[in-house]
Amino acid sequence: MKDRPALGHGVGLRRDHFERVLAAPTRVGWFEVISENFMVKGGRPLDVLTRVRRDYPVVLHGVSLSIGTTDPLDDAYLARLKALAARVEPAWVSDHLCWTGVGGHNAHDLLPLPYTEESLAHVASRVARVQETLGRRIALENVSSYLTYTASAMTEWDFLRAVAEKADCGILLDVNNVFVSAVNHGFDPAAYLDALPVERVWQFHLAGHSDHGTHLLDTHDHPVRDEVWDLYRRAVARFGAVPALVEWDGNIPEWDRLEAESLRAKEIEADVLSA
Amino acid sequence: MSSAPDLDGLERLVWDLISAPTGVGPGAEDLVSAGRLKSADLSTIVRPDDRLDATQRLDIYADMYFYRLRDALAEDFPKVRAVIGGERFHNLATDYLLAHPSAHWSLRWLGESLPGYLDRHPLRGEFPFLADLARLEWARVDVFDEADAPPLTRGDLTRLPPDSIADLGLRVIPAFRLLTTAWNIAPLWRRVEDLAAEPERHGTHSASVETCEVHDARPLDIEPPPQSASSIRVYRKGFAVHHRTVREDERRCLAELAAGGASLPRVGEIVFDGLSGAEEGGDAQDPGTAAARRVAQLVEAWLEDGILSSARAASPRE
Repeated sequence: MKDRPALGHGVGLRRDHFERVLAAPTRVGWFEVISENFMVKGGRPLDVLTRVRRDYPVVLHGVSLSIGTTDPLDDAYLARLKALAARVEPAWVSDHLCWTGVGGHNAHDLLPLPYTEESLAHVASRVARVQETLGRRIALENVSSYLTYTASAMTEWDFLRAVAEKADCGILLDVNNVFVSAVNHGFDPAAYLDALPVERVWQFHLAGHSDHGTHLLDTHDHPVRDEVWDLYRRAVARFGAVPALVEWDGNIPEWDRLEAESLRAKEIEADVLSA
Repeated sequence: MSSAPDLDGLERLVWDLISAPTGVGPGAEDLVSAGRLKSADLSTIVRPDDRLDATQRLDIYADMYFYRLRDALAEDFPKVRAVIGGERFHNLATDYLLAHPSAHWSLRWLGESLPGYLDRHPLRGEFPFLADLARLEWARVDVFDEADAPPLTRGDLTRLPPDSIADLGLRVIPAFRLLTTAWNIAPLWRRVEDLAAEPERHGTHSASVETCEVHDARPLDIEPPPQSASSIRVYRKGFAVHHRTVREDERRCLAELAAGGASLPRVGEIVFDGLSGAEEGGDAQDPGTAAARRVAQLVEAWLEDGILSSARAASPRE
C-alpha cells in the first residue's frame, strides 16, 4: 500500500534499551511499542517514547484490544488508545486477531478464535467500529496458537484473509507465529503465506520461540530460529519490502545483539529482492 | 449445554477452564458437576492429536494465564514476595487471582486490590505487617506513571511579589501519595531492599510470557517491624520514585495539601497547633518562632523533593 511509509527494519522498544536508544543513534529504522505500556498518565515510559519519537517512526502495537471477545468493545480503552495515537502519530496501529478475556475478565493472553462464519462476522463488525473510532485503519496480527477448536470450519489463513477483506484492515504477518502454529497444528507454513493477499500485509514480525517437545511456544526469548529466517525469505519473496520488526521480550540481550538481528533481516530482504 | 457452543459460549467455557485454580482437567469435572459440560472429555471442544490431548492443549493456556499474572504481581510487590518467599507468594497469587481476576485491560492494575486483600488473608497471622508493606509497594507503583506536573521551585517563590506569597495556593503534585500504616514499614522496606538488592522498578509490562523464578525464592530471614503507626509520603521526583516517613505535623499539612490545597499561613497554623499540643521539650523557643522554623524546614524539604505544585507555578512564566 502506498499510503504507508516504507519503514524498513525495526525492533520492539523495551525498557532494557531505553537508555541506549536515547543515548546515541542506532542502525534500526523504527520502533514498535506495546501500546498499553504507554497508555498511562505520565512518568518515564511516556517521556522516553516522546523522545524516541522525535528521532524515529513508531508503530503502536496493542495486546488488549480483544477484537474477538463477545464482551462489548471497551470505549474507555479505545479513547486512551486514540489519545496515545494523537500524541505519538504512529505510522500505524496494530493488535492481534484473538480474544483476551470474556465476562469482564482479562486473561492477558492472546487466545485463538474458532474459525467460523460467526467469528468472522463478529470480528469484522468490531474492526469496523474500532477503525471508525480511531479514525484510521488498523492491522491485525496472526497469533501463535496451541489448540484448534473442533468448531473451526476454515483454516486460520482463510479466516485471517476473510477478516482483513471484510473489515478492510491490514495484516501484521508474524512469520514466527506462522511457523509456531504450523508445527503445533501440522500445516504447511508456505501454504499460509501463499494464501494471504499481498496488498493487505503491512508489516512482518520476527521473533524467537522455544521448543517444548510436544509443541513450540512463542516466547520471544531466543534469537530468530533458522526455520523462521527461511520462512521470512519466502515472505519477502511474496510480499516484497514489507517493514519488518524483531520482537525480543524475555532474556533480552544487549542492544547490539538485538540490533544485529534486525540488520540480519535487512540483509535477507536485500538478498531476496536482488535475486 | 450443546456440544457446539456459539462463540460466546465457547469463550466463556475456555475462560472457565484456563482460569480454574486446579487446572483444566479438574476444572472440566467441576463444569460437568455444575451442568455446564456434558462430559469432561474436552475433545468435543478442542482437537486432540498424537502429541497432546485436548486437556493438555488447554493446559498450555492455563499455565500461561497463571504464571503471567503471578509474575506481574511479583514485579509490583517484590518486597512482599521477598519477605514471604516464593512458595507462599505463589499460593497467595493463586488465592488472590481467584478473588480478584484481572478486570482491566492493563496488567498495571492487577495488584490494586492486593493490599486490602492481605488484610483478610491467613498470611496476616504470620505476617501481620504484610498488608502495610503491600500498601507502600502499591503506592510506589501508583506514582510511577502518574501525570507529570512541573513542581514548584525556589525560583518560582522568589519571583513572586512578597505580599502574594501568603495567598499562594499550594498543592501536591499528582505523583504523590500519603499513607498511614499501622506498622512502621519504611525501615523494613529499606532492609528488604538492601538484602534482596531488587532491581529498580521500571514500570512497563512485557507482552510476552516471561519465566520468573518467583516460586523458588526463599523467604528472607528478617525481623518484623515495630507495630507503631507511621505516615509515609510517596512521591516521584523527576522519574524516580521515593518515599519518606513523616511526623504528625507534616502528615496533617500534606493531608490538606493533597485534599485540595492550602496556603502557607494555613500550613503555619497546622504546625503551630501541633507544637501547642505537643509536650514541652527542651527547646526554649517560643511557639511562634518554633513554628516558623518548622514551616521553613518543611517547605524547604518539599521544594527539594519536588512535591509542591501551584496553579501559578504551572502557568507560563510572566
